[in-house]
Amino acid sequence: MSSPGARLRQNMTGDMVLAPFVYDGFTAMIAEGQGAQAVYMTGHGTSAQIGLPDVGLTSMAEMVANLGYITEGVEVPVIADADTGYGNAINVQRTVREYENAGAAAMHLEDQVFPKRCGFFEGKQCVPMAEHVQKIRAALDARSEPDLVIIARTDAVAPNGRDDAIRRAEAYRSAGADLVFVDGIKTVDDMDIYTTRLVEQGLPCLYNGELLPVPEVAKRGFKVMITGGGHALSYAAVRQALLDLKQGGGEGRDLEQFNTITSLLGLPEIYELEKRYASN
Amino acid sequence: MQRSLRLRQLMEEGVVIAPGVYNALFAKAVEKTGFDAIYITGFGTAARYGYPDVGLITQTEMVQNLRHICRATSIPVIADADTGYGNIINVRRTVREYERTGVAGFHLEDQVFPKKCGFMEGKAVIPLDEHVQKIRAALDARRDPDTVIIARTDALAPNGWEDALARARAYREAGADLVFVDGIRTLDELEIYSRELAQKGIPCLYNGGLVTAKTAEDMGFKIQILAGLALGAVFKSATAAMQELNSSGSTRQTMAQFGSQPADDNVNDILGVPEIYELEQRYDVASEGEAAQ
Repeated sequence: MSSPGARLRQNMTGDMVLAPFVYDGFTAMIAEGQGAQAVYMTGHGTSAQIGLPDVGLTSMAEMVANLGYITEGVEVPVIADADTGYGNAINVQRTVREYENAGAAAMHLEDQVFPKRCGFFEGKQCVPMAEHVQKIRAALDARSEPDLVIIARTDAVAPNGRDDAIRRAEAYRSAGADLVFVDGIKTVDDMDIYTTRLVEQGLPCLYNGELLPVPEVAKRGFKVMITGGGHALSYAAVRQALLDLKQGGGEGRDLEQFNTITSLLGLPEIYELEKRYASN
Repeated sequence: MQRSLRLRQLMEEGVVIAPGVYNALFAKAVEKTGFDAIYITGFGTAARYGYPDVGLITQTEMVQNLRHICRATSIPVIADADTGYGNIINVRRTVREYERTGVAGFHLEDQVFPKKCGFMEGKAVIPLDEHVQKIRAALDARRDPDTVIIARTDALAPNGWEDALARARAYREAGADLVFVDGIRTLDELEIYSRELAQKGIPCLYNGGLVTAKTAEDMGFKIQILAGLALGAVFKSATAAMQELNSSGSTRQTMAQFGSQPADDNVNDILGVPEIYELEQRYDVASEGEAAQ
């Protein structure tokens, strides 16, 4: 079978690739079960599930461990958040190899200073553009097979303004990044500028957000869109279930749902295997 | 106060309700919504890692998850320790590793290894005597005498009530702090559980949502866990989000349906982002712009 990166590249030749946010094996399997053609492993969600805010406290090893569970759980390509690459160009090269080994189809590397913070938080800072160009070059060189999709992300919109963000995206693409990703797009106005100055100039771009519905983002020419409720939706739903329980509600689980969940997680296949390898 | 001692205190006051979650974020939600204790489900932990609950998840992975959860919370955590991951020697190590995470207590079941979820088909149990020894080994291995050791029996489905009751009594006799008959599917079964054990002075844990907390307390139970709570909520909401994404290209309705996050209880605040900003000020971490080119 072709590599995850090759499969993602194949998908990108067609319609825009839609990769819903997932943060663990279970949510990845739910997304795939509902027909997702790719999934996106969020760093924010990966941090949240181990109880940490998305401010660069989660280690590369913890990200890789989570990535491994997700790629083992689903067949579809996994696009993974790789933050800043967890250090300088040398760290980036190890990160690329570890992500590749863990089965990533794509990964994005951002130009924030380390430790980073969520793309939508206050107080972001960027490393100089030339430094991130080197990190992108290092990432491309570190791939053991050329199919792994390297996505260069810039966080420069908030701290430095739109012009710097555009310039950085162009430089990262010139350095060989497969896609560019301008993060922190908060208004349709920003979205329009992203579209006209990068997407329509022929740069392959990724959009993160939910300002516009999927078909409209696709119409603008984006190659990849990452979106969805992720862990924030799960948190809201769990919180609601807890409040319902406080009000005297039950567990909110029934046998049908239990069976659907166990099937999704592969229990029927386990029973098959038990029969196949039965010793008596 | 040690969480183990706190759990023992809570059990004196009335039935302890422990909603079931499987990661640190949801554990924080349990604490934030005002519950007294958190239950960590092995089924959910396995699902988190992408597997069904059939004994594929290792002790190491369970412990790692518990470490994150206990660090993120301060109320008592009751954990699933499956079969103890082997024989009595493994049980000893499991007890020590679990204690180091900070959990208040955990349950050890009498299934053969590898185990299955309590509500799945095809369960099998080890001989009663063997599990009595595992419970004894667990009690002896504690470094904190307050760690709550819960002996679970899975004998109801494969062997019937008589055996399940005999096992629960034997495990209590061996010193288990609580017993836990799993796989209770009907109110009739719950009533038998209550009449034959909980109301005869044996401290019992009930896993399920057939009755409210008040009724569970009246029936004599010390702890009620609702193991599937978070898993069900995540499954329902994530499935709805995907369906909406497929049909209309956004997840807005689903987000609205499952409750937006109030200003005082959103993901970033609960994870401590405001505290991070405070720390940055206290230690004069470079402010925005200084490191930009």
